[in-house]
Amino acid sequence: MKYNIFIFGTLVAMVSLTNCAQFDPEETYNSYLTDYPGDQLVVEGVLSPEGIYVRVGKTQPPNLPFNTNDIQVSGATRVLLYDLESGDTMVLTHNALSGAYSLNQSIPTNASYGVKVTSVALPELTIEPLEFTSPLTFADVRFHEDDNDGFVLTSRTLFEPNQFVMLQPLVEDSLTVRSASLLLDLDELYLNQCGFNFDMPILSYPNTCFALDTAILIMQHASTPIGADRFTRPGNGPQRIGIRIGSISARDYRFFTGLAAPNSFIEAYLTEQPLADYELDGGFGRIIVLNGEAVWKDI
Amino acid sequence: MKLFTLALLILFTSSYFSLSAQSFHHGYVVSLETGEPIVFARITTASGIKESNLEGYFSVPAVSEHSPDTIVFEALGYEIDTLILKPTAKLLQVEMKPYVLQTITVSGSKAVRNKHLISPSLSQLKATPVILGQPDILKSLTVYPGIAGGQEGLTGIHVRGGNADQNLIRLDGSTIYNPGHLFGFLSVFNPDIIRNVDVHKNYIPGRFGGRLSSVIDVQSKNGSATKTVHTKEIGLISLGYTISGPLKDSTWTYLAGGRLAHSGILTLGTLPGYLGAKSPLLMSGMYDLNLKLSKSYDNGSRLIFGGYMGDDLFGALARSADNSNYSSYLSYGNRTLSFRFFTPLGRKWFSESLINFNRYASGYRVSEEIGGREPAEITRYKNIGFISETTLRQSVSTDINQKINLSFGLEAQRRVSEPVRLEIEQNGATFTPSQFQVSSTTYAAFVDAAIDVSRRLSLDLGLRYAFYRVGTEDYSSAALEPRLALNYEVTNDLQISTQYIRTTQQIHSINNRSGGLPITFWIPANERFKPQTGNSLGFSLAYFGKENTELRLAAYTRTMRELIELPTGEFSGVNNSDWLESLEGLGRGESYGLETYYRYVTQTSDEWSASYTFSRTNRRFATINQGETYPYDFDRPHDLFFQYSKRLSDKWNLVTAFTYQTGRPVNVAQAVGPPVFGTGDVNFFAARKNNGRFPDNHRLDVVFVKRITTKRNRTGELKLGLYNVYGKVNPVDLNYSLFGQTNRDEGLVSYQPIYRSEALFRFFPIISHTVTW
Repeated sequence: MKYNIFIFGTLVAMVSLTNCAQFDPEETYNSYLTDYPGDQLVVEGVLSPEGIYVRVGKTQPPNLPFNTNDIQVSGATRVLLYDLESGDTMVLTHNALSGAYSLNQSIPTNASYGVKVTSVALPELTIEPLEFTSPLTFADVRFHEDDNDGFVLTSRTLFEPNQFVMLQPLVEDSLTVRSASLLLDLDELYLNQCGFNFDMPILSYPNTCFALDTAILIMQHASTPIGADRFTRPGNGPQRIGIRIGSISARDYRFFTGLAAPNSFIEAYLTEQPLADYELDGGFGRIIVLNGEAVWKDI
Repeated sequence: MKLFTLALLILFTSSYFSLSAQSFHHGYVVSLETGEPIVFARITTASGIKESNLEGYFSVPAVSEHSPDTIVFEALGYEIDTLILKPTAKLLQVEMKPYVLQTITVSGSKAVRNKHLISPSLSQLKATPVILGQPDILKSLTVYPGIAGGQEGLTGIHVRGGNADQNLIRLDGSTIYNPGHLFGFLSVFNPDIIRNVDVHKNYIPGRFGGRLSSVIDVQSKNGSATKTVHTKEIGLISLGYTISGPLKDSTWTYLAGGRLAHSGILTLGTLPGYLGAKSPLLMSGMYDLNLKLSKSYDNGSRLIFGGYMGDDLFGALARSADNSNYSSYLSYGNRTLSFRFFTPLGRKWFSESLINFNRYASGYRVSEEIGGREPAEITRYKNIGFISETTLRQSVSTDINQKINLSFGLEAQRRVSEPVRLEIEQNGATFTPSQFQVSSTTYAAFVDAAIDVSRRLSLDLGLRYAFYRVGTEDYSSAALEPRLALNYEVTNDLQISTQYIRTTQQIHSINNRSGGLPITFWIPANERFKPQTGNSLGFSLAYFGKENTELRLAAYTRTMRELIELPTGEFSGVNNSDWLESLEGLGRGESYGLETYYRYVTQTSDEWSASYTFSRTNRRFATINQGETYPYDFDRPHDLFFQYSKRLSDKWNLVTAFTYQTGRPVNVAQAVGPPVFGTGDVNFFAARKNNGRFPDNHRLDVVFVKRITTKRNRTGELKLGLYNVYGKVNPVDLNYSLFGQTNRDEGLVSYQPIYRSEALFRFFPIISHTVTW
């Protein structure tokens, strides 16, 4: 009997001590993939009827230490916006404060565009076509302050079937106000269903989230940045805060849902590394085409 | 529909009439010991060779109406029986005597009609070491070439480049949608109740439909007709009990079996982490129950009622330092209920009628209680999906003459499915987003013919016509599925064959991983996601050498269309009401491979077997990887299996098994850079699906099997062994993250990438004790 207990105890100990999750430090990145193609450009941007904003960076090998300087472009860099049909080309201006490239002029929406980025010692990056989908507008919009030092925008939204919707918080102010966050205050339960991108600078939703006639959008100042600070545009006039509603393509929508974090720890356990549609010709990133109305409120 | 019903009635009626006046010997081949039917027993007469069918029934023509025939009966595990019989109208019951000393295996059988079939003996299947010690039918099948397991420890089976959902897995005619227990460590098939397992992968007869890749057809025992038989099994984390026997006048038999397993030891291992609010407490458990009642009639008819139910639960509890509580439960289960009626019609026809119902449900519950004992925020998600089927099937088979065997039938199947039913409760308010339930019907007619063209040349022909209709969407499709195999016996020991099959699958599935995990969303084909189609072409060679040598070679290629996929490969999107929109359709797939299998049994019953498969399987979708072809989730070019069984003494056997597989594809970061609409200051770019691979995995398993006789004269087996003897860490998951450190002097943040791979088991003891009386 004692002998049996000893065997059983040994087996239990063996299972307990050596099994479950085994972390193997020797299984390095190189065991999985070794074909890093060299540094490439990374872009993040929004093309809207009011202009285009493109932030440019570059990649590093995913298995070596690096610092924040290593992922900034250091050499001469040019960002071009070109009309695919007419061939007109515009050069975006580098904004030293934001580190991004922008063009603040209205852009005709009935055309297709391309963006080309060139930087010294890096492969050229192109992204095309960038096509405006049908625009969205707010209806019956009201924008007023709420009790929580924020602003409430009440509106009705008009959608067509199978449209995908994005909301972009807009801020124009001095550097003291760094960011704005946006909450979609529909029925709370719709929020659970749809609000998976709270911490994103742009929020994307399927139109089924807007099934109610009236959507209440709560836009709040935040003393700490919640991801949107790189879209803050310093301005000289009165501080303004705004929101743009826009329709986006199914592909862009998929891109954003691909960024979604797992909803629970068990999903995190069950889910593989997320896969987003970052790949571009010559680099990585995404330029979202957002076609819709923006409303502003002075603060 | 009316036409179909009429045709069904005509078939039912007409099948009750014998169409020939020729004399036949017909009856059942059964085990003398238990009365169980013997499947594929070889019956040799002067006019040729026939086989018993899945119910043990046979019908062979008499050479003459007046003189007696010599009939030889052979079956694996049984002594050869020779009978000299005059033709008679009487139904025969041939009782074959099992070998007294049960050896590990008997010589490879030269199948007559089922030359495309993998039909291993139960002793073969039970000999393969599996992780929990209890024999596992599905895991054991992966020793055969072209059949690969999902990932270590998981049941998901991939046959010739097909997805896990592309296998039609049936238990007594009922579809099993998820054959795995405990995340696949066990299969739903209780080895103590299984009578026969057939795998169709080279050639799929027309009577099977609805899946692209293969058919795994499992038949359970009817129950002992001679005495009450008990079997109990105790393992390290599982136990089971089975009882069968005759009822009343021996025309009724019953069989009941149940199993229970839990993760007790592993749960204990995660307790300290949970108490310290560092890691979740993990727990898992399962049960299953089988019940079968069988009634035999004097005219040879059999009425069989069978039922199965089984459920799994996987739970995880976690707590944070601020006493917030999180819990998550995954559950899934299969139910089947079937009524089958078999009857010989005259001396030449055999009829099988089936009515069955099966249901599969899976889902999860997640609860988050933020903030201590009186949580400020409580959120609960509940997501349950199900699929249920009701099937009516009628088929008849006959030997038209000595050279032609014919079977045909009709099938109607009503399917109701609700892939996702989401309920959300937040702070007391409950909300159910819009659901959709789809009902569909499939009507099918099929015919199979096995034709001996000459002494050495034979043909297998199959044709299936399936009409599919979705009720709510007014979508319908029709498919004609021809199947053909041309077989040639070069010599008595060498067979070659070439096969073509076309298959259609009217249902899609989306998995959250490579197919073994239980959360699978079944989506009936519709206007947007049309039925999947597959075309396979194969060539095979089988050589049966002197004594007990068996060599098989095969080559195949398959193309697949109308596949679907989640472009991002992630699962959380299912919480959104538009998750169907995020699926990508119109996918194409291709797979091809070479398969080899060798088996040799020595005079002393030692056995060597080895199989090697080289295969590739790819997919192509417009929005994935820029529309380029990429290796699919279970593309593992090299798959090697080697097993050696040694009889150490009258009581002890040693079984060793070595497995080697190329690592499966995985999404790996291609680069790191500034964020793109994401949070944080840096971002991994994993843009290409399956752009990397896990390291190759391999392991050696060793099991000692002791035949035991208890003091009460009960017989049984004790298995002691070790899974993964040399402790190879075979990763099944890869995670990567960045460790950032701020350098205030330089105003920079430095990052160190961290990669972590996880394996399920390093070592696992194999302990199992089985007694039968």
